[in-house]
Amino acid sequence: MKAALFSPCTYPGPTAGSGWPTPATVYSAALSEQTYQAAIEHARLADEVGFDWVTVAEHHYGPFCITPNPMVLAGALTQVVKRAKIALLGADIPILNPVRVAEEFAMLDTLSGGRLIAGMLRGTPNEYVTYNVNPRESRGRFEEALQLIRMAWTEPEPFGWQGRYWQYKTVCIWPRPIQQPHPPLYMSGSSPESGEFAAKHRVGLGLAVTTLALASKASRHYRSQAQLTGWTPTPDDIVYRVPFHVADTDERAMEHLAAAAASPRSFSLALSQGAETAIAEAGYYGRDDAQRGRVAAAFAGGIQGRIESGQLLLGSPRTLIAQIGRIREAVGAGVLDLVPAVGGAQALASIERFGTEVLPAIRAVDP
Amino acid sequence: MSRALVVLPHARVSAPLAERVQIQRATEVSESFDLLAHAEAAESALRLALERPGVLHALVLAAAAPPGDAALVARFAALNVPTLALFGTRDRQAPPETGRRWRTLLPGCHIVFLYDAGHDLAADRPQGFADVVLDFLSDPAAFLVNRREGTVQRE
Repeated sequence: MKAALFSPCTYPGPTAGSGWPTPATVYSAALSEQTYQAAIEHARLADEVGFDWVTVAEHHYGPFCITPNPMVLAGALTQVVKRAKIALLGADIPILNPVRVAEEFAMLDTLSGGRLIAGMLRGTPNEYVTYNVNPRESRGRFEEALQLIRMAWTEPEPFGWQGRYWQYKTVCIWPRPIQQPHPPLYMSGSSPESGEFAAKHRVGLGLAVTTLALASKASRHYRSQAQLTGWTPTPDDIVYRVPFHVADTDERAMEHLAAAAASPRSFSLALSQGAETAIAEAGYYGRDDAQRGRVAAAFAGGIQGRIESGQLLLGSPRTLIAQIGRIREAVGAGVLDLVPAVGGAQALASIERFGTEVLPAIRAVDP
Repeated sequence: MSRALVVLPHARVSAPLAERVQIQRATEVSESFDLLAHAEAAESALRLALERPGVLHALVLAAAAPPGDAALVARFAALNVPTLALFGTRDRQAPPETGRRWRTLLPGCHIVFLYDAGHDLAADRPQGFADVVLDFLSDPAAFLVNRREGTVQRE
């Protein structure tokens, strides 16, 4: 198995309210600067202690994740992270200019010497409000953008694109990706529709804000759809994102998490009820109704409940190895995308301990 | 200025004789005309361009692969008819990569991919197909430039 570190650049507050968008009436430039530096330090350490990937992601208009353009942070990471791959998980392609995404990803692949992992997401529902895009078009835009980006990477002759959502008279990007035919692609595949698309187009599957039960169902669907298309996903094709904290003992890990939870940073990506309903009615969620509730479900149930349902890795290295074994067995995921559940110096210690005491054991599975 | 547009449909519903009749009629009404050739009809279109210099104002090739006749295709480089070659992203008979061969045979031709269309471009994406063809034919030399109104709200 492989491990990725996703340090989500959460601005440490205080802020004026916790809704979305979060007003910037209370804001510190110095805190944002520190947030980026801490994320870069996390990535540098993760690289040193053997993590396979470092991850960046896109969110807008709030303190939850202050990387509205994750390619910018990834550009900085290419010069600090020497060995690990740099995973964009991802760019919210339906709301972006796909040719620009193809160009930025090609730049990152070149800057990193061919270490880019190219994740393409539909984004959380609120992101359709960000750039004023109709969420009804989410899937159609996603599918077209992904195929246009792949074409921009692989077609050497200038070409025009007459799409449903995008039209270009001529596309011919420079630089080209180093990885051929193009960097590995991943997409979020929690819904049945996404799993089917990913399988049909041979794209890796990312599962986040989920439970073992939901992720297991999604990955089974993806594998069976891939079989129908004539290929078999490997463990590396499935990424499972989960918060983690590891300490020398279970008790100490629990203490750290409890202390962190006592000063909560409850940043939300939730829209008003009316806007949420409008997005649901636009068909944002898939055929599977469980999707709509999964975000709320993933944050309910208390610490023990979250560990049981695969939404949190917490404890000593030995305990984490067992918890990860359950994910590997239930979901078949070969890549863990790990989010520090505790901040500050304890985050650094946890990253280092994971690299030295957990990674060697899990790497032995699917080496 | 109005100009005739001759359409040569897919060869399975056409025939060389019918193509000749169509072209003959067009030359009777105007000195030069636009030609839209589907699939295998590309060969007739390009033979005409070689035989009757100046008769084609502009050429659109839809889901067409270059003809197999090596002696014929070697002559294409001498043509200076503005050409647009369209391919459907789901077409397996003339897949998008076919555009690369046309780019070597007809230097300067425009390649456009019609997203989510199979081999029958006009049936699969009627509006997208018509829009790009008419945009090209309205001013082939300016095709690369967006000439549409982009203002979201004028007042």
